Amino acid sequence: MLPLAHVGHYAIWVLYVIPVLIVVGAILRSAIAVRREDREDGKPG
Amino acid sequence: MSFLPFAHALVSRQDLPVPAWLFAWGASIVLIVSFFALSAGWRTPRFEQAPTRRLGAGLSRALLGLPAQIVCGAIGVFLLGFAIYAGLEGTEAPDRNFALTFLFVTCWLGFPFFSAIFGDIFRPFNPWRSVGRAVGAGFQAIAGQRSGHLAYPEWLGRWPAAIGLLAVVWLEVIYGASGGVAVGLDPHAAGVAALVYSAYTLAMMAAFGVEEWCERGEVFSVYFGMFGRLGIFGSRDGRLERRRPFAAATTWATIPGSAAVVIASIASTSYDGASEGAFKDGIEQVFEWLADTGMNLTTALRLTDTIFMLACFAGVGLVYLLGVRGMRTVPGAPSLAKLRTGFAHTLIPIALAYLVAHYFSLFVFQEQAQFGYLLSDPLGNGHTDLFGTAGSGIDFRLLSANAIWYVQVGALVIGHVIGLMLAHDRALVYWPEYRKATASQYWMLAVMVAFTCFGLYLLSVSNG
Repeated sequence: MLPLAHVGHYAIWVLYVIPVLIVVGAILRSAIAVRREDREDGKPG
Repeated sequence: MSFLPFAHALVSRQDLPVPAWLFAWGASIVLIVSFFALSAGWRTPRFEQAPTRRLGAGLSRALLGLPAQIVCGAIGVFLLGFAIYAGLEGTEAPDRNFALTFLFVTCWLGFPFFSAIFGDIFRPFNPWRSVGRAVGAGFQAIAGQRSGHLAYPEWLGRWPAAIGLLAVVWLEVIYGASGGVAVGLDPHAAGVAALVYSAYTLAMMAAFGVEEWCERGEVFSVYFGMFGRLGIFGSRDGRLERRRPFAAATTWATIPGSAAVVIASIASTSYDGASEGAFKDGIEQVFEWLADTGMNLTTALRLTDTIFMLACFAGVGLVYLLGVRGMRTVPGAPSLAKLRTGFAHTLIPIALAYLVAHYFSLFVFQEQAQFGYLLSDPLGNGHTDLFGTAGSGIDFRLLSANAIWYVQVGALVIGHVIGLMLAHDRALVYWPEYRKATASQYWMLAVMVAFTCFGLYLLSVSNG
């Protein structure tokens, strides 16, 4: 069990992870969009 | 101003205008903006085969000629010998013995810092290379032929240097861990380690050849030489040359195991920074588990620290490999193995940034000791005062806590932007169509943002 007084100390890393998650999320979103476009371009007609 | 002792830094309380984590957000924004600026304005490779300017023949002769080689080599051998002597015969107090500060601060940090600016300045002073070459020349003079060597296994590459690098850091921060002083290793142990390493290195040079071993296996040559690739001076065919900053890094990672060396550098620095901060609770927990099994407490502590250091190595390697794996998804990508080695050099400025961020304050403070009381009383026994500075101390007010923090943030941001530049440049070689090159570098952007935020997190926890 973690003492409540130190919750901030243990949780602060979340604030440092957010920029990484935003960048990774944007990359994945872009990669999925590119694949969808490629698939649609490949369809006949 | 209050100072808190850490394994490798002395820091005072910061008084920042915004929370430390906001600097990570700011640094990430700088990286993203840099990324898009590179994508828009950098469409052909500029570092690959960048032009160099040969310097004058007279200057080259003076700095690279045989007399200079002999003088520099002799200085290197003398200083190593003196450091070993101080370690074996001097005081057991780590902070009063010349050997530890000289080996683990002046050399271990000084050569990377200055090589990154001026090129590989360790090479001429490398004591083992100097001895090896002198012995080789003596053999040739007596036998009338050059000594034969074994063929170095190609697959082994720079792995001996990567493992050796982790071993050096392990010796300093895990085997010699003792809080409150800059380098806690017992000076006698440092002297013995230097002797053992010297014997090992000379044996390897005899087996595989001096230059071959320096290029691949000799820890300090490979490690300092890696940072030297960022610098502006180099030599080719006996002539000094001035080159574009960072350009020589593009040809560094052609030998297997090079990525492991630079990853080991980032990981060992990260571990050292995290062991007193971010990893502290985890280390205590694992240590308690091991101690509860009945293991000797010293062994349990060293084993715990070793596990965390190796975990750092695995973690940093994994982030890099994920970035490389991501690049592989871009159409036209070369093989995974080629990408893995092809982008390893982009981590060199990050390794340097981590070194500066974690150790520059230690370097500034300890060099006052090095060129003050340690130079006048190298054995630390109080019997000598060679230059009249034996009674001097360290002025810890030289750097404020805020100044240290801003240098740390600046180093991390600049190092990662340079890493992005190198990666973008290499991507343009692998994907001549710049849109694909840019797409491949989204993944390296993620790697750089991850390393920046991780580095700032470690520093903020250590400083907090």
